[in-house]
Amino acid sequence: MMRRRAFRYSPWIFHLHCGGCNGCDIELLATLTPRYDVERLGIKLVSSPRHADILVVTGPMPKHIIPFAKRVYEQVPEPKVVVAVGSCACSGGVFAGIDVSEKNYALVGPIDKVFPVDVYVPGCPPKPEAIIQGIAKAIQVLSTKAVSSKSLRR
Amino acid sequence: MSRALIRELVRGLLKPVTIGYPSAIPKKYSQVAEGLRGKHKVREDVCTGCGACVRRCSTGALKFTDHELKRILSVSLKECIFCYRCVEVCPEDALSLSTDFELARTRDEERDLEIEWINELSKCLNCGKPITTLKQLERIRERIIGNIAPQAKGVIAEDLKVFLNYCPACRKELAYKLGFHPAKYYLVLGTRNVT
Repeated sequence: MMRRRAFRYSPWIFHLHCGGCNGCDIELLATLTPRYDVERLGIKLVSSPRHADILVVTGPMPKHIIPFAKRVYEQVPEPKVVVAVGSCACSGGVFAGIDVSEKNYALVGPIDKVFPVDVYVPGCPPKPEAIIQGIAKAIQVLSTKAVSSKSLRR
Repeated sequence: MSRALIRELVRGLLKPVTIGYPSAIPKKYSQVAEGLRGKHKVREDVCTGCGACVRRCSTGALKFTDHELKRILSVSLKECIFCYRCVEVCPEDALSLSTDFELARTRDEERDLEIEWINELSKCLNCGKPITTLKQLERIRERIIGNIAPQAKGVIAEDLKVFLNYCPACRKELAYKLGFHPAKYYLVLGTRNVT
């Protein structure tokens, strides 16, 4: 019961930047400023993925980042949620073109080719309010996962 | 302490700066500019299915597929970068971007991120292949008849009833058969040989 409350009222975020223009990163940073203030929802930005509940990913994934991104994903302990912020993370965005991973020499494109994504936030870049909406949905998904996840059963 | 500092302190403590997004009274705190580019809105009765927006799209988010006699147009919001080029190029002003920016969806709700609408295609009388949509042919007929001198309108309207039902390849064959293909002028004047 306390664990469920902990996941719902204080989810911790790790921001993974997978090679992009930084537009979505700047809007994500703006949500932490007093103007949009996502910290009143209990959200804290942590510096290690081992402390995080929600993994926020931005940018189209370049091919040489894949092993590092997979390692970060595996370091986030269960139960975890992945949020793909921006149109590059959802589908390759500006680089989508004909088919990203076949024609482009550097990018994989959508994040869900590397690890599974739970929430998509489209936009280029999405408004900070839209990112807050995405994180609120991620918290709902997280609290249902927390209830049903095996790691919480002894 | 200077007066400016005191003034800013007082001003900062009087009113909160935060836009309390999910839970605040919308009129008081949230700010949405009028020209905000958000989710697409299509007027399905006006859209002719011409495909100008599909050609202009920067990323390929707008697509159409022709299935039997229907053209299914779709916008994939995941690939869209909201650049507004499709709206600028639409000849009928059927497409517009509303101010709806709340587009986050979980994996179960992914279907909301695809907007689809359908137009009917017309068939060629000769070869049976689809030409273009019925509404597009209607617009072509309106524009041609609107631009001709009144004495020719009746004749052209009759001709259009035949020609708009043939695809471009079959139209050429028809023109040869009926004898008014421009090639015959070249043959008469002797400036060109047709094999």
